[in-house]
Amino acid sequence: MNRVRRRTFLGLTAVAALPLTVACSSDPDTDPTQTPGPTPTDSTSPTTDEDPLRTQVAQEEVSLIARYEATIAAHPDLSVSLAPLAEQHRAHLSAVLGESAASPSPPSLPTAPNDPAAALAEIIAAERSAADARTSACAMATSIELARLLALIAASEASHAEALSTPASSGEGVAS
Amino acid sequence: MTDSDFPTTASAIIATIEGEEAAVYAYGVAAPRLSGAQSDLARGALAAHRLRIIALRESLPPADQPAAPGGFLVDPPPDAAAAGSLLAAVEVRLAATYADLAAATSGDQRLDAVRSARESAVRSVAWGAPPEAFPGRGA
Repeated sequence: MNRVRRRTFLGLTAVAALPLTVACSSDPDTDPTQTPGPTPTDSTSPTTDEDPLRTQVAQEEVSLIARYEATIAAHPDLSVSLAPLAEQHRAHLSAVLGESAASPSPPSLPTAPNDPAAALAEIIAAERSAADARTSACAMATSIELARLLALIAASEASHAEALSTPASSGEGVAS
Repeated sequence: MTDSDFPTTASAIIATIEGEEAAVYAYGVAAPRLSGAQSDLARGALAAHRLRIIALRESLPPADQPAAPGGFLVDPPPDAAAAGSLLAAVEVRLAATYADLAAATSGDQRLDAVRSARESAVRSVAWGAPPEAFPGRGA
């Protein structure tokens, strides 16, 4: 949490230019069935091409974390189920940023609905949108590493929505 | 992309087929312990996994087809809780396998793989596992 705040200013300019650069950062050939550039087997592909994609995902994770924090602050009773998931988003953020990029700041401070059920519903909807966004981002990734990471994050966020939709089952552990 | 261009794509597909076949087997041994809504969930999941196996095998040329699955070393779960744990574990492992497949493919194949990874991670939670930051990859 502190880490995110400390690095807030660094990310601002990078993020401001983002929506445009992401749309243009892949090859002119935008047909998603084609694989221009590095092949999936080419693990040495330059990662700089992917920095705008990483920054975009990082921005979205930061917004999601801010929404979680606002919801937990407004509804402490939800903390038991929400706090562990917020922590997983911080893990997503760290993994996406890697060593290179700076953590962006949320565009504006979200406010949680007064009704806890409505607040929870907003989080669930945000998780579903996030899983969809991560799926689209995965399609744009050029390196194996980022594609795998975004697929895992998409799966994680889809499972968050499931866990929050069926809170009765989320507490049980699994012997593995 | 074509199958022959990227050998790792074929091996990722084969690994996914093996994971799906393990899942089908696990659903088979778990089913007798389930009832009611859990039975319905298991039937739907089993049908989905079988369809994935067909689609995955269709995406491989005949020469690359993996052999029919051999035996799986899975003890039949003694009760519903153990059955749920078995299925949750199988599903979360499969989610990670599909993430590997997504990394080894592109275009529509990759999107399909991500969707499958999401479905498996969701099912894992539906079977009682806690959500993971990186499903099937620890942490």
